[in-house]
Amino acid sequence: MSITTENNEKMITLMSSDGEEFVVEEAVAAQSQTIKHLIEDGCSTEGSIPLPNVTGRVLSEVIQYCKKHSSSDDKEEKELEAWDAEFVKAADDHVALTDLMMAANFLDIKGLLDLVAQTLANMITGKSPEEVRRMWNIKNDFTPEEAEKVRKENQWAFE
Amino acid sequence: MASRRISRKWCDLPSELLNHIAGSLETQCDLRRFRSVCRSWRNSTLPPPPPKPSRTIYLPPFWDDGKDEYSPKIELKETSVYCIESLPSTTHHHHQEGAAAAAARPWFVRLRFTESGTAVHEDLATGHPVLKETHKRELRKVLDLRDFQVREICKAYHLWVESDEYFIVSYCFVETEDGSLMGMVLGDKVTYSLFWKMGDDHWTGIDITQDGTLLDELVGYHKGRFFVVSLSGLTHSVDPVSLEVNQVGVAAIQWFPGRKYLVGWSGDLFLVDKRGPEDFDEELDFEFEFKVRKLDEQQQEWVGGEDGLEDLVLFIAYGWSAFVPAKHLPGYGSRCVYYADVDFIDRCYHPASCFMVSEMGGGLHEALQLCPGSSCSNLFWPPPNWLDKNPLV
Repeated sequence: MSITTENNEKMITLMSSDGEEFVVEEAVAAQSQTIKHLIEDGCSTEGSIPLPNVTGRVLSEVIQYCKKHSSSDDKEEKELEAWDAEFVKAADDHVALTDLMMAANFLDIKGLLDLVAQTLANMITGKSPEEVRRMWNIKNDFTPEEAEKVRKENQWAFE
Repeated sequence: MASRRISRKWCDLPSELLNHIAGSLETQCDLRRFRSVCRSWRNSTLPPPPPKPSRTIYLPPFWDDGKDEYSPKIELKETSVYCIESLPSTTHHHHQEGAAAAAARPWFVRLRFTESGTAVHEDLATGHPVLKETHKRELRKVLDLRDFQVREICKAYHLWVESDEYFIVSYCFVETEDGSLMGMVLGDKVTYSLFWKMGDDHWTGIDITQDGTLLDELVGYHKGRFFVVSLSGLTHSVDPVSLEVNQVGVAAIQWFPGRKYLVGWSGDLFLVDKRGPEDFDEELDFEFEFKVRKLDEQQQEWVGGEDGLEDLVLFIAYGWSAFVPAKHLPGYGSRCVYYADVDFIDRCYHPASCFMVSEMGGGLHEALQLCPGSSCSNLFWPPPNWLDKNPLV
């Protein structure tokens, strides 16, 4: 189902995996290449677009990002960068950034994907492997042989 | 901490997304640590390449006059300058807060890699091999790159001519994007500025000033172009592909009589002008200062001021010079110059323990006193405590 607003802005309905519906302007939804292609293929004309991989909580964050980025132009790059930093910090309080990254990947929103990847990368920068494992509860699943190989691969031997 | 939500999911991320995260890491050491966390992280990425062997290349003679004359050997030696920093998590166990910052100050090394991949320490300031056994004992035998933040600062190139007759005024060599080498040389016996790139069996003369007068003083490279500065400040760029010459700065500089350097940072090219004694042997106390100008290509001027230098530290040694962001260098003063070029090296004890430290800028700075036998900065020798001498081999 597509609705048109007073400003003649076409509206699109997105449905999350847990059945939550979000009505957004087409320009906002089209920040996602995946949705853009679905719209172009005429998938949005009947009812809402189902997004089986994205929960409502995550989709709500994604939409916030898309709204901001569809209403800003390139000239506001600095301001947008600052907004992105605030956004991802807040998003980290609401959803798992890994989920947000999965959604950005599935929906094909390059800016968001890069933003989250950079944020996750920053979180582990300068931390030892043990520390990373401890902080995020990741199991060290290397066999002793593999661990030895890893050690060898990461050393500079001096003459 | 909210990011703990990630825990259950982080290892379940598909390989391509783990790869994307790994690709956003700033240093190769962070990539190494990433690959050492667990299997899925390791399998999502390719190992960083082993260090490339450092090159020593014999260059063609500066000119070939057709006579069967003896031509001196010209050798170019490549080394790499790295900045090594202890990870914050590993130092906090050993040091008190506050003292920790100073104790964990990043350390600089200059390394040459052999064909077999082993590293050889070269003196940071001079590029000479660190030979003495006593010094070697101070150095690690093995460095586990996962335990440190290791940044390659720059490559250092040292040109050596087997004859005293050829006085090199200035030279600059760079590694191109495809890993080959090219460079320019200004010499007092050569009328033109000389250009060479890997594969060439001769130097190409470039008549910068168009009238054959040799007044060029300084050559540098930044963002795809060489820059040649004459004694008067007249500045030209040279395109290394077309060898096209363009004037980018007019002649209007009041120089200090000392050494000069061209150092690039971000989009800008800086001219560093040193004022101070050229011969340190004569004096025990001396004053010196560094004046930094930036090239404004639109106005064709070298402009003063410290715009863009606020958060940078400048290193100048024999064969290398580089701006490094102060945020990577806790314990070093931003807007400071750490200087140990050839005119100063004689005053240092080998390995280089002395670097002069001065502020960049205009006015005359407080004189630093140098005492023979001690060092004024003592930053780069001996190696810091957090680099344990000989850990597990």
